[in-house]
Amino acid sequence: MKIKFSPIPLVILLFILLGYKELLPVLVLAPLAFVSYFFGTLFLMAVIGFLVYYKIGGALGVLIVALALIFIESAYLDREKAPREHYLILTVASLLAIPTYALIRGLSLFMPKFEVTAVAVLILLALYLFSRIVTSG
Amino acid sequence: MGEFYPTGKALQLLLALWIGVLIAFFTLRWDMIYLVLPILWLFFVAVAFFKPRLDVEIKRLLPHDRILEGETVEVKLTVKSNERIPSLKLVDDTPEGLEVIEGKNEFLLSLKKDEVKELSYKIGVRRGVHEFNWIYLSYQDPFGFFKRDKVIELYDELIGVPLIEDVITPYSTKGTKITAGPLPSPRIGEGVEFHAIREYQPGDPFKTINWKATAKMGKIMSNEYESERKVDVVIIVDAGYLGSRVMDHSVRAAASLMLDCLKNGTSFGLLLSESVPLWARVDYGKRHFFRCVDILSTAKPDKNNLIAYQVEHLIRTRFPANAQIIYISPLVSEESRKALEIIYHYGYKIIVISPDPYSAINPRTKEEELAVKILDIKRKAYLRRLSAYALIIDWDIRKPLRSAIAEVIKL
Repeated sequence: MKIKFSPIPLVILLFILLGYKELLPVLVLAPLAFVSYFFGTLFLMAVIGFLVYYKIGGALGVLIVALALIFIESAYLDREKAPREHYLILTVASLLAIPTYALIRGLSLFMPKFEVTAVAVLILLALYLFSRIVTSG
Repeated sequence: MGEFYPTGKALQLLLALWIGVLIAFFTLRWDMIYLVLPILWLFFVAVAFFKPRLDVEIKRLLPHDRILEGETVEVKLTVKSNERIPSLKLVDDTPEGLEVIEGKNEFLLSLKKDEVKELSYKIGVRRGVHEFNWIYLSYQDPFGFFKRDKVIELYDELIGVPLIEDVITPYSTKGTKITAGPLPSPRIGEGVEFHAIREYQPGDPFKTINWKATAKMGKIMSNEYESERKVDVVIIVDAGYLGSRVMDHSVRAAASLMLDCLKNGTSFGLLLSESVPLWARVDYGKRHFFRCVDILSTAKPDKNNLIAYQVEHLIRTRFPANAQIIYISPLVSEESRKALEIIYHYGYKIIVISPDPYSAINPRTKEEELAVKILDIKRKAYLRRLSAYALIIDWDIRKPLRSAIAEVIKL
């Protein structure tokens, strides 16, 4: 078990969650991400579940999910002894979700309804990517 | 061959994404689906920016195609990438018979566009023909979501030739075959070996005049030469699996004796008695020597119980009359002993070089030691019986072949 940069997003996440006591129990699952990626995804699912359940959304919700994702991916990169630039790419790619959220939020002012737009766009995107992954070769 | 496919890790994250979507749906908080945006972005970046074609050029460089067994060789790989590849795993197809002794034949690289990288590892060469067939490339994007494997066919051959040592010629090179001798002679048959001095006869070439003898005798004297007559040598190597422990030694002995023939100017042939026998007809010269060495390089212990039949067949069809036979065999199988008797009955002069297979064993227990002793006594009894047919050089492989020969022919 090799640990290098992965504790950094976890510490930031811990500081943010200190303000949301109801979310703190989810951190119990966090150390499992050091063991295997599968356990890491369980932690990520739990984070999303808690956020949805306690209705903690907005840019902060997206940031929390992004940090949880960066954490589990960093744990993987630590194990693979990846170069530093891979951590940078990971961080930038995940945090791009925040301006995207801001964009969708901005668009929703002119669109019929924010939820409908978001749901439609996300489902379409997800389905597109999924089909691309499965069929590419 | 090239395939781009998602890894188990990508599927796990996709599962997390869909469960996130389902949680939002089932808790009737559809708007919160945007929480999966970071995951989508990560997938998007991986697919859009890290999907290479694996467009690389690879060259493998070996210092020579023939290397003496036991030597260390550096295998160099030159990799040129025609695109940016952040994470490339490269595995060279090192043949099984070669041992990687320094570095690894697996490399993890990060290449920029048009970047050239040189990689190397060292291998210990064993006797045999070793084939490098391919190089395996595996690309994984930085996040480990997608993988692409490619096998580039890149063929190289390395022949591990047997070690050759200096040996004493264990037989007389004089025979019936007229040759030009080891030194270049302008006229075959005229000979190069000095025989006597006699009075000059009209018609003798001027170059044969011995001026010193002329001055001493007061009349013109000339040297007389005789044609060199050489023996044909046929080397038989028993590649039966019962002698697998000393197979390398048998091969080395054969190669050393062939080099000795080359130095003596005698022509030689080779029979490598595997299940399919390999026969190199009697010939002379360096080219023939290297051809025979290549044959010996391929020798491996084989389940052959036909050596007597093979020898008898070749005696009838291929072996030159009055040839000197050098039979290299541990003489542990009934067939190999029978082959010796057959050669003898056909009237050939035979020298047997018999590497002792039991001298290669280091017994670990007293029982093993006793077993080896019994087997050794049994073999020695066979050798004593067979010494009626041939001069047998019983070779303890812990000693050099040269001293084993010297002990027997009393040099």
